[in-house]
Amino acid sequence: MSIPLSQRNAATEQLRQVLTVVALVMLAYIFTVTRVDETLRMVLAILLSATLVFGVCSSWAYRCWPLITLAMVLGIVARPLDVPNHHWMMSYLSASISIVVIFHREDFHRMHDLTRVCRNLLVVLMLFATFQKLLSPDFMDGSYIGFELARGGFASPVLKLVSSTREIVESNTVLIQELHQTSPAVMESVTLDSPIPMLKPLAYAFTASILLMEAWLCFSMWRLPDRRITHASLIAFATTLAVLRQEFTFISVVCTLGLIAAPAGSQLLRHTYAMLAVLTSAAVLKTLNV
Amino acid sequence: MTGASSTSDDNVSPLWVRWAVPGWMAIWALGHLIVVQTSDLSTWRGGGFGMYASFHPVQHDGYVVLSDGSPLHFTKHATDPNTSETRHDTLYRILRSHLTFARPQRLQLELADWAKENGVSADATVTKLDFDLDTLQLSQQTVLNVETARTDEERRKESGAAE
Repeated sequence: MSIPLSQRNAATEQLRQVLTVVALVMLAYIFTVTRVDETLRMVLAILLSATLVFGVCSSWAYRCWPLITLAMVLGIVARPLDVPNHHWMMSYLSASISIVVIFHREDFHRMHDLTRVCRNLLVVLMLFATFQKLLSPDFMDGSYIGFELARGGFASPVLKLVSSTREIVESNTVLIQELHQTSPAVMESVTLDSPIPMLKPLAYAFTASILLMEAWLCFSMWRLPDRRITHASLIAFATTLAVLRQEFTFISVVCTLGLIAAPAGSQLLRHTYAMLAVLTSAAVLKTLNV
Repeated sequence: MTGASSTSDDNVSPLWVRWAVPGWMAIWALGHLIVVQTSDLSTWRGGGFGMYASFHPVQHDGYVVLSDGSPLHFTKHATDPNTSETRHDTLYRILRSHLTFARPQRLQLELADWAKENGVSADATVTKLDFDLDTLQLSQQTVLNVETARTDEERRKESGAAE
């Protein structure tokens, strides 16, 4: 049975939106990352720009994706201990796109399989994010989150609203810097001040919330991928992360995966993901002070 | 390179199309998890998706004491601002990866080669942070400490002092 024309056109439009957002997010990353070789950075910029210029759903653009994947992987091979995890994630995404666009002839099947692949990628991502934290003593005893709260590395936009909190965070930052600059033979430890009341219960609360959220995202993307609650949770996760910890590149990657994983026909959801992905990429570019 | 793509709505593409990449991602991440649990690899690097599970490698420090100079301090992003010699750049390159993945035996070999070339002995320490949520005490925990062999001149000085 052949695919109705309306469905084929809809799939092409969706794929066009998806590949445009992916190219933009990756371009923003390439322009801002410092831990990728300059030559690879240039090659990636040219290839990604080419997909946009040729038309992301053209056969020329599809042929660029295996080369983009190769360049991303070479970036990992060159500096395996330096590249951040969102580089790995983008490499997996571009590899998935390469397989899907080359294996299938119809955009309908490409979009269909790409959706399923990205759901699987999100499941694996959240599964290991959860397990890494469960197995980390620094995380499970609340000390890592407590430290980040004390130094203003977590929830800083909220903490900085109160001047006394801001001052304590600044003085903690000075103490931490002093500790870093001094050999442990000379200075073993410093004592920080608590910028907020009930630091310990708050650290525990954040620790538990993060674990539960990531475990829920893993489960819901695996078992309830078409449900609104799954995608509402993922969007909430991304926006909360933007407030608590401004890791905009990672958030743009998560939103891009969410865009691809969203159920077909859910225009509002796709547009929300696309907008978040593009906005957070723009926020990343802002760090260039251009 | 095209496969037999079904034109039905169910789309029976082979399993590998949907699982090759996520499957590989899972295998690699599992390997990373095992290495993290059995060594000093940071959860933040290596494709294991352990961001925010532990202190970031930028919070790790490297300290090197050379027999012919002041102590040097290295972080993941910067060398000691007091260093100006080219050899310190080389020392930084040796030490830097160990701030993310501390491997004592490898650092011992690399540092010994460097120390021999430069005619000095070197003591290198890599530390990470530890935070006590009850006392709010932040301390540096030694992850590894390696010392290179003393040079002949240093041994002569030491034996002369002993006599």
